[in-house]
Amino acid sequence: MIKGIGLTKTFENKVALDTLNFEIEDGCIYGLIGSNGSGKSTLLRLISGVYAPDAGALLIDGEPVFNNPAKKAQVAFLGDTPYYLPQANIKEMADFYRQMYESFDNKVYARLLEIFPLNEKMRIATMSKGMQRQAALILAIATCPKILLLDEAFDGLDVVMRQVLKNILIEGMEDRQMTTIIASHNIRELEDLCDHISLIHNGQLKFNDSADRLKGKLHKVQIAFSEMPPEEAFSPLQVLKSERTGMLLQMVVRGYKDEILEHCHRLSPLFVECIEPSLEEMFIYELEVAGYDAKSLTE
Amino acid sequence: MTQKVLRNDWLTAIRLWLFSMKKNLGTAGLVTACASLLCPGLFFVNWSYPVYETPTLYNATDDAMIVMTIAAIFSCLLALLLVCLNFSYLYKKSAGDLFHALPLTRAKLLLARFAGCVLPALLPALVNYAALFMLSADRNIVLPVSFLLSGLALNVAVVLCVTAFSTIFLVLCGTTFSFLASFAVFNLGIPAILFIGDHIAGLSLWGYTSDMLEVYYHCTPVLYAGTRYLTLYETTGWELWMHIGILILLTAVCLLVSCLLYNRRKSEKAGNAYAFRPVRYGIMGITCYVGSFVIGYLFDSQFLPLFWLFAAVGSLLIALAFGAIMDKGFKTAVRSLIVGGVCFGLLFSTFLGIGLDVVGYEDQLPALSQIESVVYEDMFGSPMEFDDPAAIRSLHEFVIKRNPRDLLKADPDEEKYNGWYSMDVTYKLKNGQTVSRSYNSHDLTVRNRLTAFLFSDEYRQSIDRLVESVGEGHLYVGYYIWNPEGAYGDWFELTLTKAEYAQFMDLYYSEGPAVDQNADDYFAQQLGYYGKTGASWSFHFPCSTKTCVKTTAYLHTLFEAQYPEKTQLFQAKQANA
Repeated sequence: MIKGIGLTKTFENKVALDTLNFEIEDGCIYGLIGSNGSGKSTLLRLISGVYAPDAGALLIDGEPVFNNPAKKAQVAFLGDTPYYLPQANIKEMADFYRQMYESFDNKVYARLLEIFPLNEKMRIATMSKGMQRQAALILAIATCPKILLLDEAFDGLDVVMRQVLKNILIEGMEDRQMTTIIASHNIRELEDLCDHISLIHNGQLKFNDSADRLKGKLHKVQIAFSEMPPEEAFSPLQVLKSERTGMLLQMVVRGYKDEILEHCHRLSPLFVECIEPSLEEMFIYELEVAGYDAKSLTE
Repeated sequence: MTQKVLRNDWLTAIRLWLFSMKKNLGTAGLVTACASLLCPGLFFVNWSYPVYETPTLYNATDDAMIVMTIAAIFSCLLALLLVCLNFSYLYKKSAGDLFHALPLTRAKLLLARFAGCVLPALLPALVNYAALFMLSADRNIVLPVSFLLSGLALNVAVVLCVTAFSTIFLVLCGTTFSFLASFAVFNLGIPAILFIGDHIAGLSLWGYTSDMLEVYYHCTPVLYAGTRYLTLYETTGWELWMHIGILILLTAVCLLVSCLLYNRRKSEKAGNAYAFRPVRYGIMGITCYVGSFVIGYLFDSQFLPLFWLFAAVGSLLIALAFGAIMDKGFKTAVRSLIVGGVCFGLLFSTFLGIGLDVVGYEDQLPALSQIESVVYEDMFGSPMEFDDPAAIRSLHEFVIKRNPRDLLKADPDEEKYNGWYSMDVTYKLKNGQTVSRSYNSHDLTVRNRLTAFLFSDEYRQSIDRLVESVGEGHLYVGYYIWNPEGAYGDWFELTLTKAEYAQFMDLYYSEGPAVDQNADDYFAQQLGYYGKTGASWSFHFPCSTKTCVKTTAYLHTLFEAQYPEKTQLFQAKQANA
């Protein structure tokens, strides 16, 4: 289990992660979404032991990761800009990983080379962005890590390769309880893959729950009245956003569907409808609440 | 697929070391091949002639020293190149992600990369030593294997020490440029600061003796490591091995410091000029201090107001430029200017402190009880060791009291400035330290005092002891044959037996010290010796034809006995005149 306790990381004067508390269970695919500079990559680097926390602790199975080879051996980190040794091809990089990670599995490596159609002896620097990303994925997954950290994993991959990657990640989770943490801006990619989702904004977690539960916690409500009730009538609901057009009120409400509908019916509406938003919409609503939306930024 | 847990990260470190070494071999091989064209290649092509032209044994140790020194330089340069390449991951975020995520502690990561650089860096040295070992097998060439082995051991130690010291800078810096700049600034800047102080002291302090060579050699680990090559052949066994031992110890200390700093280094500092802020200001300070002096000196080497004006402006500009280059902009311009100002202030304070002699250097004189022996030398002769230092100390005290600064305040009508003198004193103290002073001025009072000392019993006895101790060689006295017209004539070396020496000295000392160096007939009798072992000395006894009548007459009898033909010629000339 990965556990963050009061995790704080600061760069110069900017607080990248602010007293973060979270737990990530083994064997799940965890989606980390957030705006630019929200602290996603920083969190991944903390989990991989690249960064040391300024305050708090980052624990894997109860042990800190930074400068802890036993824990770092369980983690494979694929950054947003993968690095390869100068002049190296995939074969040489695989040699390097084989030397460094005892868990490197030649069979997995061979199978991945079959799945991703790459020439093992081609210099990585001459490959396209998408091919370089595939090479990095092959190497990271072949180390058979307990925890796989992917920063913008789908960046540069075509539609087919994205699906292949998703299948491999699911396979890893099912076969050997691999935990995958994917940081991405592309929420739609994560929606059908991740079983847990976190939204991180300005170094703080806005939500952190299973994807199913998250979806049930936020709703778009359309409600029409013959006579609009006073604002106080909606105060028991946790309204994130509301917009009134004549007698029609559109709201984004945090809460479970049944509870929201029950309250709305008490106000005797002409019409009421409660819709589950997509993950992307949820992301947008939550960030709007945090003051991060296109309208306020362009004003 | 099963997850295996790494139990022993030492094994991973060794694997990384081997992997790094393998990757470095290409670069090392290329540099070695290029270097080999010069040394041993070109060197041996030119060097082979004396070997074959010499009919007997050829002593190749001096030439081998050149090869060994060049080999060490190549190895050190290659080591610096390799550490730059191997630790560049510290300066690139994506590369840092890869290496810092490896299942290793930072210390082991650093050690593995360090070891991966050092061994390939020794390749140029090994090629050169292999060539030297092959030469040493030739019967006609004198080149002891033990000498080569000690040179090789020193070479390894030097490369280790220089590379380990460079890793401290690698960890402290945030870009390759700042690493190279800082490493160069530190290793050249510290000696330069010492040189500036030395230069100012030489100009300002009366009696100042620059005995800074040892300090220069020890001021940075890089200089300390390299300088022993200069005296490798003279260095005795235990001294050399102790030096090698110290270098190994220094390597260990540098690596320990590097590891401690690396553990505190934040990965996110990659790309910043420096990972630790104080280092930036330290390097900036050295640059400003030295640069300020150089710029001032370029415009005014007399240290007059123009020097100070340009030194001040130079210091500020250098600080500003340094900050701008490191930050790629002027966002820290104010701080840079403050550092520039402080450095100029330090330079000014150094001048002021040394110029006013705040530590009282000029008046320092060791207590008689502290002195074990003293070596004295003046314008009259070679250095001479005195067992009883009282007379020299008293003389030195007299000279100190005649400090030219005090003379400037004195009455100019005293006419004290027409007697040139020089005097060097080196005290060996009982605690093992030495105190040296050197005086050179025009002061008739001191000149007269030194002349009086020449006629003292202590001086005479010291020369007597020196003559008593001479081995097989040539003891002589110089003798002038005056031209009949009275102008300077020819000079002859008269061989002396110890008895003749004693008679010469008795006569000279009986004729008294009255000597006027401005007199027309002033001259100096030179007593000298050179021995088969290479030892030599000489002393000059001031004379004039009026004061040294008996001495000159005695020397003339020796001249007549040793140069009969020249005597006849001289007598004929005299008769004609």
